[in-house]
Amino acid sequence: MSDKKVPPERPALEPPIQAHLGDQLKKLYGSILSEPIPEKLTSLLDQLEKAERAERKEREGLSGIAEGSGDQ
Amino acid sequence: MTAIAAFKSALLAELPSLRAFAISLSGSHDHADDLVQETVMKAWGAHASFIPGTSLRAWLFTIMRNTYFSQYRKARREVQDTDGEAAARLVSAPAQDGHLDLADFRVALDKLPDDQREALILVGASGFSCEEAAEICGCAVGTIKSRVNRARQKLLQMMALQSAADL
Repeated sequence: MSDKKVPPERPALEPPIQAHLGDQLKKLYGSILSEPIPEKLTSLLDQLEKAERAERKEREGLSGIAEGSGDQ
Repeated sequence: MTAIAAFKSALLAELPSLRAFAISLSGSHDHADDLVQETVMKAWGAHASFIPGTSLRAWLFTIMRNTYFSQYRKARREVQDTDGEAAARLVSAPAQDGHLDLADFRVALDKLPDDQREALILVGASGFSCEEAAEICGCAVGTIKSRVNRARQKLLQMMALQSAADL
């Protein structure tokens, strides 16, 4: 292209090539992004939510009992 | 209660990004889903340490990469996808112009050193700034920039794209 301002072992990428690389990368990444999410991942979140709700309920229940016994 | 539901739906919304990052880190769909699973569990347990108003994605990616580099990197070396296999599964479109090109690209990407591939993905595909990527990787911004540069150079060498005339 123009003058040899850049060191030969690491030439600056020509813009069209750089753009092509970027496109390939985004295409590849986009194809993964649009894949359906495996059910085991979504159900994991359901389980975590359920477990946390149960845990909170239990904690509230326990503190209720503790308060109750404290009153006596 | 609503805080749990909100965090859950925020995590759900990040699952595709987490998977994409996991696949690019681990090079295999199977490992990737395990990695996402573990990241989600850790994130759930560490919910309290997430600072609202900051990037949830960056926080999750940080957890994921720490998990990957402490536990999964070895597995990647041991059970590496054979070259064509990962590419074939990734590109589901029927054979057409650009198909082979993208498959080649995937193979080339997989051959990059972990740190270079990671930097390139974070900046070039995940939409993070170099500053955010540096924070996720726990390194200097300049390090990210030079990794991205080296990754691009190496990809080009592998894809034998010497000049724009090849396009």
